[in-house]
Amino acid sequence: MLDNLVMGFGAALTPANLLWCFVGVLAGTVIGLLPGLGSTTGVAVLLPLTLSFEPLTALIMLAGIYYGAQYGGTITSVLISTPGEAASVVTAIDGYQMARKGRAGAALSIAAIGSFAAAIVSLVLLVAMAPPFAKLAIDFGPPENLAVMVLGLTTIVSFSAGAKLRGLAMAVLGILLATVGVDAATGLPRYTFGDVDLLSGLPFVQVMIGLFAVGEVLYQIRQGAAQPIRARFKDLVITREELSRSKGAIARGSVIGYLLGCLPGAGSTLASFLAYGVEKRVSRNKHEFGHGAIEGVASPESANNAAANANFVPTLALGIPGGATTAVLLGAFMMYGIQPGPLLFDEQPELVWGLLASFFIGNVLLLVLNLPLAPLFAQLLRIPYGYMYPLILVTSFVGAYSIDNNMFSVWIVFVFGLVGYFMKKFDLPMAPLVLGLVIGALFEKALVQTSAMGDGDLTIVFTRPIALVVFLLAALLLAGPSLLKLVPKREPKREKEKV
Amino acid sequence: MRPLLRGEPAVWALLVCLSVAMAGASFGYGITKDGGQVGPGFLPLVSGVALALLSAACLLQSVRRAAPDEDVDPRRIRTLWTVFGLLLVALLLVPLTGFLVAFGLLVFAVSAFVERRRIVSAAVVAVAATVVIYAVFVLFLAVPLPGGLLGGLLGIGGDG
Repeated sequence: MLDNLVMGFGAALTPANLLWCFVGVLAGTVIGLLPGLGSTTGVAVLLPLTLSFEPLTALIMLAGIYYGAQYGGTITSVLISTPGEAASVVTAIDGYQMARKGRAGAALSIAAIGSFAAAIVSLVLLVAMAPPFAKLAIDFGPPENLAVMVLGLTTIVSFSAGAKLRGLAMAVLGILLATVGVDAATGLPRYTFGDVDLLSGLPFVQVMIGLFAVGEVLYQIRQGAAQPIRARFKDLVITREELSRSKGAIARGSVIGYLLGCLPGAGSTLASFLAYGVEKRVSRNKHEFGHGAIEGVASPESANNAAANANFVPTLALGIPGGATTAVLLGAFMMYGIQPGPLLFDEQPELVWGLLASFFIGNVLLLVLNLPLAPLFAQLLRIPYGYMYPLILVTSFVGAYSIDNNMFSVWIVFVFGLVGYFMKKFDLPMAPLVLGLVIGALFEKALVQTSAMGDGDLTIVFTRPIALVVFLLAALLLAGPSLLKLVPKREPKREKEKV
Repeated sequence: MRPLLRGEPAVWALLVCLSVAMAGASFGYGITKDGGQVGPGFLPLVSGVALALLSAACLLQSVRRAAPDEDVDPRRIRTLWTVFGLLLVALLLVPLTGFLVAFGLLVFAVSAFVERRRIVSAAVVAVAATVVIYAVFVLFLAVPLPGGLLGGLLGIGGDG
């Protein structure tokens, strides 16, 4: 196992890979800073730049963008209470309050340190767990794959805060849209209306650029940008007390983040919310939560970084993305001709271990770059949005054009930009749509194969123990909270007795 | 009087129509193959019907729930649709002026006229953005950005 890691570091530590990882982290941080733009947008918009690279170099750069954008999102959460993405929403609660008390620098520092510590914890866990996970996945047939994909979709739906029905609708819409194009099994074109460009289906990255970049920009124009709080270099120093208060929060956040990140579909957002919730219960400084508790920044930031790393477990081992950003990365894998799945670990060990090692390298670069430079990056927030958003729009459209060198891509971005705007406006969850869209084709393949295995009888999935357990888990995730509501609550009675 | 189907209910109604149409078309692709196995129309039918039901449920929910009054400055809404319109104009201009010129003009128009920045600064930003995009995408990544009719006349740009 250690040999694999050494090989991974050997592959990742070439000057070219280091350079592109640095560029990725830097560009990601800047993108994450732009109002409304997060890691999914960053990866989607900059993906075209990597098409001419070696696959490992490209993936290392994209992973760097992923981390960089997450940190950029933290900066906006802390300084303008505007999270770049859902995973840093929780950070805004205490981070912004810290900033208002003049501790913005300390909040940004602890976020970087927490992310770094989480990267080490999750790398150790990844190295230990990813290969056995992949070995287990080798025994998976189409019914098990089908079950895991259903689990992924239900996981992401069940955590669409207070909007399960809408989440489910978006996931199904994603699957439905994924059926556009030639049917892989029969070669029959579906919903193409004779358009040659649609034969290969809706172009995934272009759809993402539209939904996330253009949709977000349009939404930000509607909302207006907030004024940032100033972060100064001298504020970056963390006191010994702040550091000792954060240690436990970072450790708990890292483990929670890792465990949740391993679930297909769960992603970083849930991890950050759960870690914050746990910390709020166990912390000695509960009363400070919501008013600028440093644990309230350290814990979700460690959790979302650990989850971001762990997201690669289902992505690499099963070919099922852990969240929206890994869904875009999965699209990138396919563009580079790499088929993620259990065999990837045996077939392309250098790529897999190089990528895993690059997570660590990316986080070191992030720490080196962000600890001293966070206040400088924060100055970017002072550039008027009126100059920023036309540039974001142009970059998005040029980037989309350069993927396939055709105007069809550009029109797809335009149309899905409008769709993305309305989704934001009406608060429709995007992650289930993205996941449905990216796994739609795989889902149909598993469905067709399962049906062939059972001679048209799909109920064979219930005769396979692993698939059955996974399906039950999925059903529990969807129906569990509603069932719990049916259980009569005893709390009020006790309260009455007390009174 | 407020029309019934506007805002969120309109989105769900649109999704009901889309999913019903797609589910209907799926019959033409063959729901099952010989031997009763899943055919090319199976997933579109199942997901289309499921989406129609889910969207109908969401439509009912959104009609019942009174939409809160939105606290958005009407000027911002106007700005949003102006930018969207300019984006459409830029896309339609691409075959004429080429990609770089069309989008350079978009940056200038949005900065100068929509955001009311000084004409000179808007022009500087537009030219700088065009040059950077040309350097990164055309020179560095060798992307043949469409030169349009203008590019053809001047003998520059990529595939028309």
